[in-house]
Amino acid sequence: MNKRQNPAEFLKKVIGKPVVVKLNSGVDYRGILACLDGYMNIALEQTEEYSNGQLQNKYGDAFIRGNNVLYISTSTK
Amino acid sequence: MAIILKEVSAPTAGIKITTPNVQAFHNSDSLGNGTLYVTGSEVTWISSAPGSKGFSVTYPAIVLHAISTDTTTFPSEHVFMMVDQRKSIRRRRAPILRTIQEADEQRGLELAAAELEGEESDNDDEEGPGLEIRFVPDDKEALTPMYHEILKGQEENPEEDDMMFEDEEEQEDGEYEMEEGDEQAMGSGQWFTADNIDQLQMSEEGLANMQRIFGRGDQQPRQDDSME
Repeated sequence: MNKRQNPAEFLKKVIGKPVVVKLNSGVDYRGILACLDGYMNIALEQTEEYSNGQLQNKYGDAFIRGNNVLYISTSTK
Repeated sequence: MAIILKEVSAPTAGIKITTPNVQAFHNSDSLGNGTLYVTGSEVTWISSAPGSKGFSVTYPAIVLHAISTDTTTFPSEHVFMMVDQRKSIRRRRAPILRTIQEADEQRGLELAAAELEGEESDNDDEEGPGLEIRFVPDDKEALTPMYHEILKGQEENPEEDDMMFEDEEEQEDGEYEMEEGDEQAMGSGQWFTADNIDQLQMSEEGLANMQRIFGRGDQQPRQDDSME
């Protein structure tokens, strides 16, 4: 990382959108990307937890520590 | 400034590479043929002439090393080293050109000491970085391994007070404290939504996470950050 640049432009495209958050453990969380902080910790709303493609749980809000996230993709739903 | 060769014992520990038939030069003066030892702590050259004369250079004193292939400035391809004697003096390290069997070389030592002290006095900034040493192996194929082993040695021997090579003991300096402050400020529980995302400031950890997270999956990887 050679410089500290503002990543806001990029994050604008995904914040407030439905996303799939894949954790290192393999579990998916699908929800609205509500907000995030300077560590890339993220908070989802209307969250559904999927394990092996099966819906396991629903959460109103979910907080996910950035270090645990494998990737975030924009959801088609 | 001349090099005073002393009797040197061949290193026995931590040898990375031993290259025989290496001619050493100080500037353009040949010191003769010998063997080059690159070890974990220093670079040592010992003449093959009787008496085992040679010199050792510790890594912190090697300002730069390189393979020179420009035969217009020097007739043979060689590994070039620029050596800063003053570094080791100021930091109270052992002199660069030192004896291992000091007792036999008292006179040489005294000469060297006088030379080093002179260098340390107030005109030391005018003298430039110091010694230029060249190693010319008989076998040109040896150049690259020599270069790489010195490089590894350099990496394993960071300067104690070099900001670029922080280790755990060095983290009390200003740079570290500043970073720590930054991270606290940026990770202090401030959350960013679509409304205030423009104020977002990422910590290093956050940026690394972001690159990792969005560099995969369906998103465009942000390669501009990873360009050096």
